[in-house]
Amino acid sequence: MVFYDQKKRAHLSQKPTQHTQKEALMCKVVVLTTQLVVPHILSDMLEKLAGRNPALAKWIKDMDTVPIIKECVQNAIEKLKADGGIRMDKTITDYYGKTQYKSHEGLDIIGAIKTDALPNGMGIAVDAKGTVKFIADEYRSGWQAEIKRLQGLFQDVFLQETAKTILSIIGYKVDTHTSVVDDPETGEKKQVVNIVGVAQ
Amino acid sequence: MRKIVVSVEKGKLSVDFFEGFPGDTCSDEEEVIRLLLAKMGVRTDVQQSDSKSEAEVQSHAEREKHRA
Repeated sequence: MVFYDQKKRAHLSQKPTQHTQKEALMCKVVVLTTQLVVPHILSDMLEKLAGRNPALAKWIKDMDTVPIIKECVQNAIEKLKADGGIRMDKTITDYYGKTQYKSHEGLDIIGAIKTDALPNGMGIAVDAKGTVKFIADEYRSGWQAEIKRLQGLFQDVFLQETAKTILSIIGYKVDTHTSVVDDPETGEKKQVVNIVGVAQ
Repeated sequence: MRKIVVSVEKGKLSVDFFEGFPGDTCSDEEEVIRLLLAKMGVRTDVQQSDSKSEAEVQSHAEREKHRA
Protein backbone atom coordinates (compact mmCIF):
# COMPACT_ATOMS: atom_id res chain seq x y z
CA MET A 1 0.00 0.00 0.00
CA VAL A 2 2.79 2.37 0.89
CA PHE A 3 4.62 1.44 -2.29
CA TYR A 4 1.54 2.18 -4.34
CA ASP A 5 1.11 5.60 -2.73
CA GLN A 6 4.71 6.50 -3.35
CA LYS A 7 4.43 5.41 -6.97
CA LYS A 8 1.23 7.35 -7.38
CA ARG A 9 2.75 10.42 -5.76
CA ALA A 10 5.82 10.17 -7.93
CA HIS A 11 3.63 9.88 -11.01
CA LEU A 12 1.48 12.86 -10.00
CA SER A 13 4.47 15.01 -9.17
CA GLN A 14 6.05 14.37 -12.56
CA LYS A 15 3.17 14.68 -14.94
CA PRO A 16 1.93 18.15 -14.01
CA THR A 17 5.50 19.45 -14.09
CA GLN A 18 6.03 18.21 -17.65
CA HIS A 19 2.63 19.52 -18.65
CA THR A 20 3.28 22.94 -17.11
CA GLN A 21 6.69 23.32 -18.71
CA LYS A 22 5.31 22.40 -22.14
CA GLU A 23 2.40 24.84 -21.89
CA ALA A 24 4.52 27.60 -20.38
CA LEU A 25 6.54 27.57 -23.56
CA MET A 26 3.49 27.74 -25.79
CA CYS A 27 1.23 30.16 -23.96
CA LYS A 28 2.58 33.53 -23.13
CA VAL A 29 1.19 37.00 -22.78
CA VAL A 30 2.64 38.96 -25.68
CA VAL A 31 2.56 42.40 -27.18
CA LEU A 32 0.70 41.94 -30.44
CA THR A 33 1.31 43.74 -33.69
CA THR A 34 -0.08 47.23 -33.94
CA GLN A 35 -1.31 49.35 -36.79
CA LEU A 36 -1.67 52.69 -35.09
CA VAL A 37 1.70 54.35 -35.22
CA VAL A 38 2.98 57.82 -36.14
CA PRO A 39 4.02 57.63 -39.81
CA HIS A 40 7.53 58.53 -40.97
CA ILE A 41 6.12 60.98 -43.51
CA LEU A 42 4.95 63.30 -40.71
CA SER A 43 8.16 65.35 -40.81
CA ASP A 44 7.81 65.80 -44.60
CA MET A 45 4.22 66.95 -44.15
CA LEU A 46 5.28 69.40 -41.43
CA GLU A 47 8.12 70.77 -43.57
CA LYS A 48 5.66 71.41 -46.37
CA LEU A 49 3.32 73.28 -44.02
CA ALA A 50 6.22 75.24 -42.46
CA GLY A 51 6.93 76.74 -45.88
CA ARG A 52 3.52 78.40 -45.84
CA ASN A 53 2.68 78.71 -42.15
CA PRO A 54 5.71 78.25 -39.84
CA ALA A 55 3.81 79.13 -36.64
CA LEU A 56 1.14 76.51 -37.29
CA ALA A 57 3.73 73.88 -38.25
CA LYS A 58 5.65 74.58 -35.01
CA TRP A 59 2.45 74.35 -32.96
CA ILE A 60 1.67 70.94 -34.43
CA LYS A 61 5.28 69.75 -34.13
CA ASP A 62 5.53 70.75 -30.45
CA MET A 63 2.17 69.31 -29.49
CA ASP A 64 2.54 66.39 -27.08
CA THR A 65 -0.02 63.95 -28.41
CA VAL A 66 0.77 61.02 -26.09
CA PRO A 67 -1.62 62.18 -23.29
CA ILE A 68 -4.30 62.84 -25.93
CA ILE A 69 -3.83 59.35 -27.40
CA LYS A 70 -4.08 57.83 -23.92
CA GLU A 71 -7.31 59.73 -23.28
CA CYS A 72 -8.71 58.58 -26.64
CA VAL A 73 -7.80 54.97 -25.77
CA GLN A 74 -9.54 55.30 -22.38
CA ASN A 75 -12.66 56.80 -24.01
CA ALA A 76 -12.67 54.10 -26.71
CA ILE A 77 -12.55 51.34 -24.08
CA GLU A 78 -15.41 52.99 -22.17
CA LYS A 79 -17.45 53.15 -25.38
CA LEU A 80 -16.77 49.51 -26.23
CA LYS A 81 -18.10 48.56 -22.80
CA ALA A 82 -21.51 49.73 -23.97
CA ASP A 83 -21.33 47.14 -26.76
CA GLY A 84 -23.22 43.97 -25.81
CA GLY A 85 -20.96 41.24 -24.52
CA ILE A 86 -17.85 43.35 -23.94
CA ARG A 87 -16.68 43.81 -20.37
CA MET A 88 -14.05 46.24 -19.17
CA ASP A 89 -11.29 45.41 -16.71
CA LYS A 90 -7.97 46.82 -15.52
CA THR A 91 -5.95 43.63 -15.92
CA ILE A 92 -5.56 40.66 -18.25
CA THR A 93 -4.68 37.13 -17.24
CA ASP A 94 -2.49 34.41 -18.72
CA TYR A 95 -3.63 31.05 -20.08
CA TYR A 96 -4.43 29.58 -16.66
CA GLY A 97 -6.24 32.71 -15.51
CA LYS A 98 -4.06 32.82 -12.39
CA THR A 99 -1.47 35.52 -13.13
CA GLN A 100 -2.89 39.00 -13.54
CA TYR A 101 -1.06 41.58 -15.61
CA LYS A 102 -1.42 45.31 -14.96
CA SER A 103 1.54 45.92 -17.24
CA HIS A 104 3.78 43.94 -19.56
CA GLU A 105 7.26 44.62 -20.93
CA GLY A 106 7.20 48.10 -19.41
CA LEU A 107 3.82 48.97 -20.88
CA ASP A 108 1.07 49.97 -18.45
CA ILE A 109 -2.30 48.59 -19.46
CA ILE A 110 -4.74 51.51 -19.70
CA GLY A 111 -7.70 49.16 -19.84
CA ALA A 112 -8.62 45.66 -20.87
CA ILE A 113 -11.61 44.33 -22.77
CA LYS A 114 -12.98 40.85 -22.12
CA THR A 115 -15.68 38.75 -23.73
CA ASP A 116 -16.98 35.22 -23.22
CA ALA A 117 -14.84 34.17 -26.19
CA LEU A 118 -11.77 35.90 -24.69
CA PRO A 119 -12.18 35.59 -20.91
CA ASN A 120 -8.52 36.43 -20.21
CA GLY A 121 -8.92 39.73 -22.02
CA MET A 122 -6.97 41.97 -24.35
CA GLY A 123 -5.08 44.83 -22.74
CA ILE A 124 -4.50 48.13 -24.49
CA ALA A 125 -1.44 50.25 -23.75
CA VAL A 126 0.30 53.27 -25.25
CA ASP A 127 4.10 53.42 -25.39
CA ALA A 128 6.28 56.50 -24.83
CA LYS A 129 6.10 57.41 -28.53
CA GLY A 130 2.30 57.23 -28.57
CA THR A 131 2.00 53.89 -30.35
CA VAL A 132 -1.06 51.88 -29.38
CA LYS A 133 -0.15 48.34 -28.30
CA PHE A 134 -2.42 45.36 -27.77
CA ILE A 135 -1.40 42.80 -25.14
CA ALA A 136 -2.94 39.37 -24.75
CA ASP A 137 -2.40 35.65 -24.41
CA GLU A 138 -3.24 34.32 -27.86
CA TYR A 139 -2.51 30.65 -27.20
CA ARG A 140 -5.84 29.25 -28.43
CA SER A 141 -6.94 29.73 -32.02
CA GLY A 142 -10.40 30.80 -30.80
CA TRP A 143 -8.75 33.55 -28.79
CA GLN A 144 -6.75 34.72 -31.80
CA ALA A 145 -9.94 35.17 -33.84
CA GLU A 146 -11.62 37.06 -30.99
CA ILE A 147 -8.53 39.27 -30.48
CA LYS A 148 -8.63 40.16 -34.18
CA ARG A 149 -12.34 41.00 -33.95
CA LEU A 150 -11.84 43.12 -30.82
CA GLN A 151 -8.88 44.94 -32.38
CA GLY A 152 -11.10 45.86 -35.34
CA LEU A 153 -13.88 47.10 -33.04
CA PHE A 154 -11.40 49.04 -30.91
CA GLN A 155 -9.71 50.63 -33.91
CA ASP A 156 -13.00 51.99 -35.29
CA VAL A 157 -14.01 53.49 -31.93
CA PHE A 158 -10.47 54.84 -31.38
CA LEU A 159 -10.57 56.54 -34.80
CA GLN A 160 -13.90 58.14 -33.90
CA GLU A 161 -12.51 59.40 -30.58
CA THR A 162 -9.37 60.74 -32.29
CA ALA A 163 -11.33 62.58 -34.98
CA LYS A 164 -13.67 64.08 -32.36
CA THR A 165 -10.73 65.23 -30.25
CA ILE A 166 -8.87 66.80 -33.16
CA LEU A 167 -11.92 68.67 -34.43
CA SER A 168 -12.54 69.94 -30.88
CA ILE A 169 -8.90 71.08 -30.54
CA ILE A 170 -9.16 73.20 -33.69
CA GLY A 171 -12.39 74.77 -32.52
CA TYR A 172 -15.24 72.74 -33.95
CA LYS A 173 -18.40 71.78 -32.12
CA VAL A 174 -18.62 68.05 -32.67
CA ASP A 175 -21.58 65.73 -33.06
CA THR A 176 -21.70 62.04 -33.99
CA HIS A 177 -24.20 60.44 -36.37
CA THR A 178 -24.38 56.70 -36.96
CA SER A 179 -26.12 55.26 -40.00
CA VAL A 180 -26.53 51.83 -41.55
CA VAL A 181 -26.08 51.71 -45.31
CA ASP A 182 -25.82 49.04 -48.02
CA ASP A 183 -22.27 48.03 -48.84
CA PRO A 184 -22.00 48.14 -52.68
CA GLU A 185 -19.12 45.62 -52.57
CA THR A 186 -20.70 42.91 -50.42
CA GLY A 187 -24.39 43.81 -50.67
CA GLU A 188 -24.58 43.58 -46.89
CA LYS A 189 -25.55 46.29 -44.41
CA LYS A 190 -22.68 48.21 -42.86
CA GLN A 191 -22.40 50.81 -40.14
CA VAL A 192 -20.94 54.20 -40.97
CA VAL A 193 -20.14 56.70 -38.23
CA ASN A 194 -19.99 60.34 -39.27
CA ILE A 195 -18.33 62.86 -36.99
CA VAL A 196 -19.70 66.25 -37.91
CA GLY A 197 -17.71 69.32 -36.92
CA VAL A 198 -19.33 72.73 -37.15
CA ALA A 199 -17.58 76.07 -36.60
CA GLN A 200 -18.81 79.63 -36.96
CA MET B 1 -20.73 78.48 -40.83
CA ARG B 2 -18.09 75.89 -41.73
CA LYS B 3 -18.75 72.19 -41.65
CA ILE B 4 -16.51 69.12 -41.89
CA VAL B 5 -17.59 65.50 -41.86
CA VAL B 6 -15.19 62.75 -40.85
CA SER B 7 -16.41 59.22 -41.65
CA VAL B 8 -15.22 56.05 -39.93
CA GLU B 9 -15.97 52.59 -41.23
CA LYS B 10 -14.13 49.27 -41.15
CA GLY B 11 -10.94 50.73 -39.70
CA LYS B 12 -10.79 53.48 -42.31
CA LEU B 13 -11.11 57.18 -41.63
CA SER B 14 -12.07 59.65 -44.36
CA VAL B 15 -12.08 63.41 -44.04
CA ASP B 16 -14.74 64.65 -46.38
CA PHE B 17 -17.57 67.09 -46.96
CA PHE B 18 -16.04 70.50 -46.49
CA GLU B 19 -18.79 73.09 -46.58
CA GLY B 20 -18.68 76.83 -46.16
CA PHE B 21 -14.93 77.26 -46.59
CA PRO B 22 -14.01 80.30 -48.63
CA GLY B 23 -11.04 80.04 -50.97
CA ASP B 24 -7.81 78.45 -49.81
CA THR B 25 -9.07 77.74 -46.30
CA CYS B 26 -10.55 74.45 -47.49
CA SER B 27 -7.17 72.91 -48.34
CA ASP B 28 -5.49 74.55 -45.34
CA GLU B 29 -8.03 73.12 -42.91
CA GLU B 30 -7.76 69.72 -44.57
CA GLU B 31 -3.97 69.76 -44.21
CA VAL B 32 -4.11 70.70 -40.52
CA ILE B 33 -6.60 67.90 -39.82
CA ARG B 34 -4.48 65.38 -41.74
CA LEU B 35 -1.32 66.46 -39.92
CA LEU B 36 -2.93 66.22 -36.49
CA LEU B 37 -4.39 62.81 -37.34
CA ALA B 38 -0.99 61.64 -38.61
CA LYS B 39 0.63 62.85 -35.41
CA MET B 40 -1.88 60.72 -33.51
CA GLY B 41 -0.88 57.74 -35.66
CA VAL B 42 -3.99 57.72 -37.81
CA ARG B 43 -3.72 57.27 -41.56
CA THR B 44 -6.32 59.21 -43.49
CA ASP B 45 -7.97 59.22 -46.86
CA VAL B 46 -9.27 62.57 -47.97
CA GLN B 47 -12.10 62.00 -50.37
CA GLN B 48 -13.20 64.34 -53.09
CA SER B 49 -16.80 65.23 -52.37
CA ASP B 50 -18.75 67.68 -54.49
CA SER B 51 -18.68 70.35 -51.80
CA LYS B 52 -14.92 69.99 -51.34
CA SER B 53 -14.32 70.11 -55.09
CA GLU B 54 -16.53 73.16 -55.29
CA ALA B 55 -14.57 74.89 -52.52
CA GLU B 56 -11.33 74.12 -54.33
CA VAL B 57 -12.71 75.37 -57.63
CA GLN B 58 -13.77 78.59 -55.86
CA SER B 59 -10.30 78.80 -54.35
CA HIS B 60 -8.71 78.42 -57.78
CA ALA B 61 -11.09 81.01 -59.25
CA GLU B 62 -10.22 83.43 -56.45
CA ARG B 63 -6.50 82.99 -57.02
CA GLU B 64 -6.97 83.59 -60.73
CA LYS B 65 -9.05 86.69 -59.97
CA HIS B 66 -6.32 88.10 -57.68
CA ARG B 67 -3.63 87.27 -60.25
CA ALA B 68 -5.57 89.16 -62.90
